[in-house]
Amino acid sequence: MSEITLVSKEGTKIQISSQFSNLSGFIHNILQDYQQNEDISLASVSFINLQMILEYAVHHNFQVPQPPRCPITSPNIADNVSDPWDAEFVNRLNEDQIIDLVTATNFLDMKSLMDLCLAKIACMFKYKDIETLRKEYGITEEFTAEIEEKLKSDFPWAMEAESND
Amino acid sequence: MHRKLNYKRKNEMSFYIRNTNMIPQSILSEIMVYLNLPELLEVRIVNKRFYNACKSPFLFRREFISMWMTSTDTSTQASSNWQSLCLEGIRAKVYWQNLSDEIFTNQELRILYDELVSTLASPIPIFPVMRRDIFCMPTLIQDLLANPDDQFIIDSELEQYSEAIAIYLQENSEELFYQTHTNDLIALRWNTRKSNERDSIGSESTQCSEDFNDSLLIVLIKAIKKVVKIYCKAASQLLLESSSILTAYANAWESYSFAIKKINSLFLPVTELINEFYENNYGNNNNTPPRINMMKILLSIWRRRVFEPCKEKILSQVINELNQIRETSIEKLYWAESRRIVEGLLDLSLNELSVFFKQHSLLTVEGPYSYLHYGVIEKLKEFYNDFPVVFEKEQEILSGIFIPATVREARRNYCDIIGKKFKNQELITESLNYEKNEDDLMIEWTAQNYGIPVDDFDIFKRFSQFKENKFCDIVVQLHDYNMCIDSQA
Repeated sequence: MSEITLVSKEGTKIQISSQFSNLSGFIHNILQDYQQNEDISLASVSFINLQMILEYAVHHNFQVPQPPRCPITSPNIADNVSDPWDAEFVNRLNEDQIIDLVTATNFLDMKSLMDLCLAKIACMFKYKDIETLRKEYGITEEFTAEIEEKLKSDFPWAMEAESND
Repeated sequence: MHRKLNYKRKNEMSFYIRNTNMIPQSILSEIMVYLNLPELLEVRIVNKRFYNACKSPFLFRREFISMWMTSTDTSTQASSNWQSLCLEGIRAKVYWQNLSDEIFTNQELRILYDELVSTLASPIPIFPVMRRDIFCMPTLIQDLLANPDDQFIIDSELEQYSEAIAIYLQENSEELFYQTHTNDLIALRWNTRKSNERDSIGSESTQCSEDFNDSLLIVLIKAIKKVVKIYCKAASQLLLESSSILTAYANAWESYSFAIKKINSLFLPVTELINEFYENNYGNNNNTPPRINMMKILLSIWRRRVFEPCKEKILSQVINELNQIRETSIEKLYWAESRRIVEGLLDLSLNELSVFFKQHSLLTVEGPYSYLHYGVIEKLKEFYNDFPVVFEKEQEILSGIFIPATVREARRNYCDIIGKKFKNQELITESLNYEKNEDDLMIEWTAQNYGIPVDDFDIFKRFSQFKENKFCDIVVQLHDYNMCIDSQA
């Protein structure tokens, strides 16, 4: 078996090497009982996402690449991945696309690409204080002032100890 | 003060996630995996969804391990205790940073702290791999116990630190002695000795007084203990979460025993100075409390913080392994993890004298090893009652794992149970057999080498004043035995 047929939620068919199962746990399980020429329906994956996923898979030659650094060390994703192509790939996605892609990779059990997307989102949070995060992401405060103060005073030395490093 | 994260954005990000509600909670938790401890503590305050996403114990376990331990961290469960452990770890670090800088500079304290933490996390193995793999005896701790002078050997690599501390202490010694409150020292020394178990390793009373002492040396000892206690607490948490506690415990103990030797050497000038000061002031008679011994303090912490919480799980796994060996192949005996566990627990149970008599069938079983000993013996009683076995094979298995005192006790129980069951008087008699064997003769010989005639009760009594309890117990036991034999004759 060299090729399999994936069907996006819009019904578009895409042919791809069966080696894709190296990257996707979902496809790997499907192939256990797969009969040739059978279509594999991906009801939760749009055509656009599927194209991006395949682009990623082909670039990595259907092999699992090195995961992003964890925890990340910089707000720039390029500093946290070993392959610069990964950073370029994920940087060109907009906010809707990246959330969609996370959902699609979650459905496909495709850990490597999902990790890349998650690391990209984590980069958005890095080095930002609470107010900045709230402002940028339109979050209204939910904690009462007392609870927030308590949470802040829970670990004051944590911040100081680490910042001295 | 709450730290404001100083972030200067170099390049404007290409996009923002305008509404984090778009992200499912489970994925938000996965994103948090990529943040480090200070960032997690900051981000969790944003709102309740962020707070819940940041409270995964796996995150806190990972962060704790990355900062204070070395572990593969593969277990699938993590306790909620990891968050508080992180908190305690950071608190200990700040405690060190805030120690008085009258004698040590902040930089030296930092070096000492880093050295202490890195030693606990990954100490340099002292035994080569081959020697460790073949289950060598005595272990490092037993070796040190039986040769106390070895504890004061300073590794060449530590000389730079030890020497620096020693010089500082020497230069300031007069002032230091003058400033150190005598009462504080007495309190500390008393705390190291007040237990009845003062001669046994792992006395439960090595805690410093709750009162905050203003002597730097005492505070320093307390600071060392603080870090070690947190490490041990985390180690026990990891063991409880581990799927194979026997291997995990044996490995953790081996690593800790290497760390003990290094920490003992590292802080030797400190403990020696306190000891010297105390001896100068209070003399060196029989009533003088024992010297502060870092090795014993560290053993005690391990016993309380690691062994106690894990002991039930360890016992149950040892019994499982025994059953497996019995049911499958005796060859598995040579790979049994229980052997390493027994050695580790003996490290915590023997003292300077009893270490010599480890292989003796009359050794008084005490300390953590006794928990294993009696636990296994009780289980074996049930087993012998339900499934009469041929003891020769059983003996081979037990001898391969436990010390002779345990094997002897198991044999006595076997003879008693089977004898009564089959009304076999010979076995019942054997269960009461206390006859001397070669090991008993060896004890007598050693006692004589110490200049103690084994048949003179008065001398035994005098000998007991030296408070060498363990050794004395054995010799008194022998004496009682001789008296018993004499009266029968």
